[in-house]
Amino acid sequence: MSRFHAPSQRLLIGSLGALVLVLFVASLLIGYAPLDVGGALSDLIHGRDTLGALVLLQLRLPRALLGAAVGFSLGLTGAAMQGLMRNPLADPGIVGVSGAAALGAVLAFYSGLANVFALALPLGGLAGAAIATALLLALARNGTGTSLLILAGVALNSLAGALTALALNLSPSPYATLEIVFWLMGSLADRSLDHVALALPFMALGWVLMLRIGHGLDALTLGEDTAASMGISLKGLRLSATGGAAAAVGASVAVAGAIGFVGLVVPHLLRPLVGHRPGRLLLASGFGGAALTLAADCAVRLAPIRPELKLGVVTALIGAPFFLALLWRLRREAE
Amino acid sequence: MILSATNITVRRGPRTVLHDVSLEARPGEVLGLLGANGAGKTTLLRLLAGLDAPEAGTVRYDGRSAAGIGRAALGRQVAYLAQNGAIHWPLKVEEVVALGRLPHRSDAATDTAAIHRAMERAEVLPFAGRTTGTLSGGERMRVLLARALAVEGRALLADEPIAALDPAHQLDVMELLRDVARGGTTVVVVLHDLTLAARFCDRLALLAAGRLHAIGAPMEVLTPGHVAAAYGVEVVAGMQEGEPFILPWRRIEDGGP
Repeated sequence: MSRFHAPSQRLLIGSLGALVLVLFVASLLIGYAPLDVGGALSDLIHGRDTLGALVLLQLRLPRALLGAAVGFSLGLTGAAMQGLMRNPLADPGIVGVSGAAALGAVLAFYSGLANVFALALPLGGLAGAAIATALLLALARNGTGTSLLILAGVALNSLAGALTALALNLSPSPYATLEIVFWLMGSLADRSLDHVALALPFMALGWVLMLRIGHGLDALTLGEDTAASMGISLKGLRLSATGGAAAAVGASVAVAGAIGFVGLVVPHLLRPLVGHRPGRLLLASGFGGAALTLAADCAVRLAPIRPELKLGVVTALIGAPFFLALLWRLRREAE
Repeated sequence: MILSATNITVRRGPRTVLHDVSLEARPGEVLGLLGANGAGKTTLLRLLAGLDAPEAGTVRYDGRSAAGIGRAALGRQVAYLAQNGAIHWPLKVEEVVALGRLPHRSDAATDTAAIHRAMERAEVLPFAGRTTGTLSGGERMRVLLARALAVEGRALLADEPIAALDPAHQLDVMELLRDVARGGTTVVVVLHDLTLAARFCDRLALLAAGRLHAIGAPMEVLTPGHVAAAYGVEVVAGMQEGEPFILPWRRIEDGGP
């Protein structure tokens, strides 16, 4: 129940929400072309077709929106998967959908469809995610237990990874290979509002499904039997969690590639602040994920390295040592 | 709440875990489930809790099926305390107990009062603010018992609630379960301690190899013959302050007495 320490919970969510807002505005302000954001905004509102308005609407806004939405999806999904598995090492990729989404996008590259029209990539990613999701949900609907679902996810990820490697192996030209490899690293650069429109409905569906399971995840703290005895439908819980994760992460990977470590690190970081309650961690991790992704995407553009570093590379570069440091501290505390 | 199991049969693959078991647990009484490891006690308790459905037979709550009552309503009425219950995240003790109110979603004052009552009865108030990772096995078990008490359901089903406890707390918990029953709750408890079962349970059901070997008043059930048949042990029995004690003494060898 949220009533214990509810005020501190509201404070945390409020602070994280404010942080996301600040970083969202920062993301709008940061870019390669000098831009008077105030002027551009005024042009946009008054319908003036200036270069500034165009840059804001076509470049900066989609990038900031996707940063927030992809980050929210990854953070929320990480928290949901860790709660469902009751394991702090679970991450959004664990249901296998991210691998399948990446494969779908790679196939769009490989087949040349991506050169024919720009949205072929995210559409391919969504198709890959959809197929993997259908498979997972069929399993979950049969009443398959959580550990078997996760093993199925691991198998799906391995298969998708192998097929992606195969596509690279058989790639017609080194340029195509390079393009695929770069795409797989994850980035928010050069995305349009079409990308946002394509991914956001699926992400929103995923968010709704996952934000609903807070009580179930709290109950699951005491094990599946006890949760079931409290009136929680385990099957419904698994369906909501895996279905929501698949929709949110599938859409994220489809538009932004694989951005690692956000979904693993953010729930870890915030867990002590919500008293380790898996239900309360959900929304907090969503905002935390959005903040981290937006911050990393700002850093990518501020760093004096060109061509721009890939976002997935940066999150892993920051995330992995940070994660190790966290484990180091936990180990010292345990001693 | 009257919990009744009628002609229950459960199979796991080729093995029949419960065979044609019928029994009833009534409000105000403690029903003890006894039997050797693998006799089917936990299976029967899970069926009574509505966690599993039997292959044959029915489980009824005041004459109604689990489906008729509905999952959520059953969660408010029947509290289940799992064997070796886990606590997967290091929550504070009071938050674990508060989970018992999760099925209710009632107003904060009602919940807070129920949580406090439960913590008081299970004697966990002294460490209400500690995290569960810092508790001993016995303390953890009492916290989980408090969680089940906080449900304030009409039935309490507990699977070996005293297995991890020291003798003093075993007595405390058995007395507590009897108090809970005297308040009108139906209590069903799986036990291995024959003396405590005889002293604190109103009736006992003795399972042997998936069948109901005996059911009734403690001293009718815990006869040397029944215990030998169900556990394969000889007992030492006697009376102390007008109450029975029964100790397992030696294993009966094959072809022995």
